[in-house]
Amino acid sequence: MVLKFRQRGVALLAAAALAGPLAAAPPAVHERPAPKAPINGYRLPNGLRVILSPDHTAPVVSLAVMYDVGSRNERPGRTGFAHLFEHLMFQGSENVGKGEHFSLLTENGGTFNGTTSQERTVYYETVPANQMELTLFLEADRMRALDVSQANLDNQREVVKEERRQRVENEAYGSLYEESLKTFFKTFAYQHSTIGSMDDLNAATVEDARQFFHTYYVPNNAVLVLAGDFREKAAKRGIEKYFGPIPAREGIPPVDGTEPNRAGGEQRLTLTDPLATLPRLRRYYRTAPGGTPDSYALTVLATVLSGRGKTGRLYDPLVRSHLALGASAVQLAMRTVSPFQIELGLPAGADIEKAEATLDAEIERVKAGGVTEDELKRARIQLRTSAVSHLQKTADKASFLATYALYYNDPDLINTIYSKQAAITAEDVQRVAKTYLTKENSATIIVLPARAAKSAAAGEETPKPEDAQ
Amino acid sequence: MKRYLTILALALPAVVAGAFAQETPGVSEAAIPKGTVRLNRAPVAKEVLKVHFPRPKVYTLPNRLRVYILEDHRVPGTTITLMVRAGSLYCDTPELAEATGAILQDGTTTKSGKEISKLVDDMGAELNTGAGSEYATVGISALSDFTEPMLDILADVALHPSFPIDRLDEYKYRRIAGLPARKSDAESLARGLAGRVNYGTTRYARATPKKEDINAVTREAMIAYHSAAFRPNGATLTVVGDVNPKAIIARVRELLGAWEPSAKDPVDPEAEFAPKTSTVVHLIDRPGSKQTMLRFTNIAIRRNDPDYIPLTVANRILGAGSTGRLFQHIREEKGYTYGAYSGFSAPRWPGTIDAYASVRTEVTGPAAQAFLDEFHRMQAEPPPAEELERAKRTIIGSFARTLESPDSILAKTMEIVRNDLPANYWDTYPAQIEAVTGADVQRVARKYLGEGRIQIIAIGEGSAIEAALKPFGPIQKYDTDINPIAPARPDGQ
Repeated sequence: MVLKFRQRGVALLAAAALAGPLAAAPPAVHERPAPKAPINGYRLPNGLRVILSPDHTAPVVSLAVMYDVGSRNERPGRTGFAHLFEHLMFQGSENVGKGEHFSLLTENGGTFNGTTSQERTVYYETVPANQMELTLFLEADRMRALDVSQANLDNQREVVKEERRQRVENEAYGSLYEESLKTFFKTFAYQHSTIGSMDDLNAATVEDARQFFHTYYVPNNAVLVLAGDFREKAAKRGIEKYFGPIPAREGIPPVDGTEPNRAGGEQRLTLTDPLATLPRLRRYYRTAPGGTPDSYALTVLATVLSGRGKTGRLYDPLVRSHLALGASAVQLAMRTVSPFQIELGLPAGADIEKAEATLDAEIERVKAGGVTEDELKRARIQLRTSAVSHLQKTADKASFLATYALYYNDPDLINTIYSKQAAITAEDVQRVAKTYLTKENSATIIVLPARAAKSAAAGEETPKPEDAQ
Repeated sequence: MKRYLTILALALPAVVAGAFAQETPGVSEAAIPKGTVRLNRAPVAKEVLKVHFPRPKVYTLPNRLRVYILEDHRVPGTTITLMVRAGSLYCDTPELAEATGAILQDGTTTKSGKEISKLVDDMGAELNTGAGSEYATVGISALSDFTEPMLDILADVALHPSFPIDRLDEYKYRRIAGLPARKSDAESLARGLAGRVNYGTTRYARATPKKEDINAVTREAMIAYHSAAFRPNGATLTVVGDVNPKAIIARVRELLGAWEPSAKDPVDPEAEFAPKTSTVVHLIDRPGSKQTMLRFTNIAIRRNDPDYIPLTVANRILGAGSTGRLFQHIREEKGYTYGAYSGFSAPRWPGTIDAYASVRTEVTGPAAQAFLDEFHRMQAEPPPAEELERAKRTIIGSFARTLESPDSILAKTMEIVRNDLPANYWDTYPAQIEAVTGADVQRVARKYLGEGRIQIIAIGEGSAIEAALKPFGPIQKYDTDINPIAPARPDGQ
């Protein structure tokens, strides 16, 4: 699909995962150095943070503008607003007519997108190198003078409601993500989904949009990244010309909510899903925020459990044994308490209890015996491969640079993250497993297909209908 | 998580596409999109970047295996893909080609499946094997440090598979266990039904797998099919990334030089599909649906059809992306959907043209009408000159982005190779696009979106949408295995 104004759950939570070159691990083969993304960072007087990363290997430029606002900044009664607002950003501004943003970029060989997550909203364009100025103009015009109108709001409200229907309500397991958030997080800021509720979408007003724009869409709340084939002098001149005159505004309210480090007891939830045909199990543990040594160790642990092919720890006991159809683990790096997530896709008529007991036994095995050097080595090469792959396309580079700058104040993480991951030892992995992967610190959500649930529900916990209709 | 350097997707002719038409009472005033408001204040560079794609080095082995190597040192990654004409089109037995392709990686005459997995994972590589319609594919990608061992594994898996019986059982279990998921997914159902509607029960339909067919596959049949179909004539090997072509081709000759060609080249099954003469609404009831997945579909063209060029422009105007009429009208103006698009596939056999959107249940009727109005408008009048020019500029302008990744550059070459297009195809392509006139666009719209030819597919809450869809044609219902429920009409099946 061409356009993805997306807010897809976990995929976005995971936005800040891997990247970086160079290795500490010594493989048998000579290692070619990964390319290094050059980073030239500065700030405009109005507070806009700028990062330039030139790369002249293809005549393409990507611009990313990331705002430090996401659904965690929303207030009760207005869930979904940050994302709805993202849609309004494509509807025109003082010097850009309705629909003109789409057509100016498309007709000049570009692509574009915008995505909203719990923690940020990002807009980006990738264009042939000779259209760099167009992207600067478009982003600056809407940062400075967005056209917020009732007609645009009403239309995009309907579009977003369809997006919610398409992604949450009409999709098998669509409610799982929202229920996961409610179960895992403890504060309103993180507990509600980015897509929001239908009632809250209906309640949003033009006044809300104007206020949101004036509060959060200010240069001192954004990071601008330009990556690709441009001359630095021309880029700096263009950035100064278009973004320089936009005034800073103070008074950005802090995020309301500090997530407790520990869950304070095991949580369990069983959902019945009218559209699902197979059961599914998700397990979350509350863990350290992204950008911390523990987070890197948990990423390595997830890689050991999941593997890339069939050598992950969970494969033989769960998948080859037919207890599950698939098993994956991932560390979802956020700026707050972050989920370590394990997911089991289960067959029809699965012995869920046995699958879960087997999973628990594997977790205990890591805690008791750690991981092997062989597993560690395999995880490292897989992480290095991922890191290298992020350096190919300018849009990916721009996105990672913006994320690392905004989340961790460290855009160079794009070049160094792999060396941090490679420094993780077997002891580190065992330690974080012991620290975080405990029953009292976990949440487990089981999804049952509605039809199967009716016949097999005896003894299960009460299904929670909620948004799952 | 992101996949490393993308492996070419299996050889399914990607379904993308579309448009079509049925008799409509003329375009209502309200149905015409208000269109984009152009202030024309943005700084735009007038010229379109002229782009020449680097060409890979090409080698043809004596056994007629064609090898394409594109050297690109920007990122130390390598992707290697072997495509053999051993897809399901060439296989008499349902599910046999799929099983054969999938199990290639599960063991060779010298290595167990477990050993292969470990070798692959120790390199941080991704190995994928499988079969689509036309090709069986073995793809592997990893850091370029591992280029040579990757080649070794690929050749071993492709030429010397052992098809272990326990892995076949495992495959059957997994494929059957996954079947229920297909029945709950609106998108899978819509694609399956479109295949059935356009291609009937021929192999081109890529029918939904049946449990009994999966169970009927035997090890002996796989060995026989592999021996017959996995041959170098008609096959291509592509290598792209931070590689040394001389070293690669030397190794390829060692590994694949002795691979014996078959006496006859594979022949495509007959692929003539009579145009439909009346629109039928093909419906699958999916209880609990909050939206109706609407898809308008019709058989269209082969890749080498001269209409490919004007149809590319027509599709761009109708619904390719956010500037298309469908998106502008049905999403931006009406708010019926999160996205409305069109597209077409053009493989070596007649592909399809499609238009699609997921719309909320209550607006199923008006949304279907909005699609029909747009199809009608494409036929009733040529696009305004400005819209036509913008569409052409869009198509040509996007070329520069292809240069960003060596995989996308190589894909352009392979499009030429696999469809027998002239070697200078992409050099002349911009001029061919430029030459398309409004009358050309109108002509292809009439030809492929014409009255009665378009078939309507709807997946949703049956009881709630049936009445709304009745005005568009007789309704043919199907179960979730894509079998017609009531007797099929002779024309609409």
